[in-house]
Formats: sequence, C-alpha cells, structure tokens
Amino acid sequence: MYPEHKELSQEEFDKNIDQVLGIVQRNYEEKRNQRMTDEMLAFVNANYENARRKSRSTEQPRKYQTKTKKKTKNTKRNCIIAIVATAAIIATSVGLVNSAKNTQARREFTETISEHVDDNVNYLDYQLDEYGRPMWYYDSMAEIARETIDEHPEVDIDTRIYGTYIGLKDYQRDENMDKIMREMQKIVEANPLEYDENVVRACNHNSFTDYLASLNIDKETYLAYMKEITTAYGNNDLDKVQELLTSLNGGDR
Amino acid sequence: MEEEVKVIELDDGTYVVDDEITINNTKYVYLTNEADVMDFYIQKVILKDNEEYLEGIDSDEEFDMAMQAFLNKHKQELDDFE
Repeated sequence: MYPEHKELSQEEFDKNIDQVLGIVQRNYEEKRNQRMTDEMLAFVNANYENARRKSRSTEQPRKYQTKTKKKTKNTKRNCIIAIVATAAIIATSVGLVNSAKNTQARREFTETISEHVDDNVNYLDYQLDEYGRPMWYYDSMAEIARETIDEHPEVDIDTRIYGTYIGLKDYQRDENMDKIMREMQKIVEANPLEYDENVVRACNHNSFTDYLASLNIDKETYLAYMKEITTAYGNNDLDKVQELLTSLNGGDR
Repeated sequence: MEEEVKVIELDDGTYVVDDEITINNTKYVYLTNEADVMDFYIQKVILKDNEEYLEGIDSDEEFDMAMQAFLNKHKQELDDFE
C-alpha cells in the first residue's frame, strides 16, 4: 500500500532532498572505497604471485655472495614492511575467503538437518503478538521429534538435535524445544531397543535445559561449539567432526 | 642520511638482502629489488663445497611457510610503522 500523498513545504522538501543526497553520497563513497580495496587487493595478489613464481625459479643455483652498499636511510626497513604488508594482506584476505566459505558450508548443512522443522511450520495459524512479532505454531511437535530421531542417520544425534533447535523460529524457541525434547523422550522410552545408545542418551531428557546439563555446557558455549561442528560437517571434515564430538560428549554422558 | 645494507648482484638487478631466516634447518633469504620495493622473492641457501648458493624453493607450500615465518618475525615493524 502506498503512503498517503501529502504536499511538502519547501523546508520539508529541502530536508528530504538533503537526506536523499546524503544517501547517494554515502553509497558513492562506499562503492569508491570498495573499488579501491578491490584494486589494492588485486595489486597485492599480483605481487604475491610474482614473488611465488620467482621464488620457485628453476635456474641453476647462484653463488650467495653479498656486499655492502650505501643506500638512503630506511631502505631495508621499507623493503621489510613491503613484504610484511603483502603477507598480512594476503593472510587476511585468505582468512576472509575461508571464513565466508565456512559460513556458506555451515549454512547449507544446517538447512539440510533442520528442514523438517520448516516443513512443520503452520503458516495458517501464524499470528502477531502485541509487539507485532510473529508467533509461530507447528503442526506437530511429535512429528518434528520423530524426524529428528529418524532423519539423517548419517549425522550424529546431537547435531541433529541442534539442527532442530536452529530450525525453530525465535518465538518461544526454548519452550518449543522443551516440548520436542519431551516428545523425543517418549519415543525412545517406548522402544529403547530400537535405538542405539547415543540416541537413547541424547533424547532421554524432559527439557532442553536438562539436555544441555547432560553435556555439562551452558547454552552460549553450546551454540558456539555446535557452530564449529556444523562447519566441520559442511566442509566434510569428518575427522574434525569426530574430534569435536568426542570433546562434546566428554561431560557426564 | 644513509645506511649500509647488504646487497647481492643478480642477472636481473641488484637485490637488498632483507633477512635470513632458518626454518627446519634450511636457511631462507629474502631479497628485494633495489629498484622496486614490491619486487621481492625468497631463495634458500644450499651448501656446496663449503660455499653458499641460492636455490629456488620447491613448492607453493614452502613459499607460504617462508612468508609466514617472515610475517611472524617482522609483524611488529608493520605495527610500529602504522
């Protein structure tokens, strides 16, 4: 719906124009800075690759025979700083690229193990609370619990539980997770022999808080830790997954 | 104001010897073209008949490792420069 049309005074008009020009100016500066950053990165990358290529030269070994020479002050310091700055920029940009790749890998993996939650969102019963925030309902907590236990058996149960938690929407997330934990407890209690030891231990809790207590971990640490595990899964680094899981389960379990 | 620096004459110009760093018993030499501060490279030193020779490094990984060692040793100078 369009806002109601309103005549603007000259003063209001000028103010609006100033705001728009301010936005355009900021946009232009951001883009110009980004272009400069891109150009600088390309320049540094080219120098780094040139140094790499020259360093790997297969020429015959040459005698390492040096002499001293008078140069302007700070010549050597400037040479050192140029190399250090190049190495630091490369290390940072590689770090940023790796970080972006990790985020993407983690996001895709987490979406996969939490999609059963999204499948259960009840869009018809969606309402807003008194603050205008969406209140989400789910068709069946029992179904989400069952799918958490049964789906993606190639992924360990703790990570599947995390996937369910992350898949839940913000509204009453912990309360909804408590309900799912109770449903999972019912499922494993009804047929304990049907599930392996890890599943029974992970799912036999009547709240999410109890589940975290069984791992001897607070929620903040848990979320950070599970981020690492899902990143390792996303990158298919199963040795790392195993190492992290062993450490996660080093609590009372 | 001037300073004395160690240099080496090579086929394609004169290079300032920025540093020598020994990693896993191999000595690496960091050289910068005196005419272009961004033209640098790394060589390793081998001993032959009791004389030192410069030789190219073997792999990209070895190059990255030598660069990392240089960064670790000199990063403070970058901080001081800034």
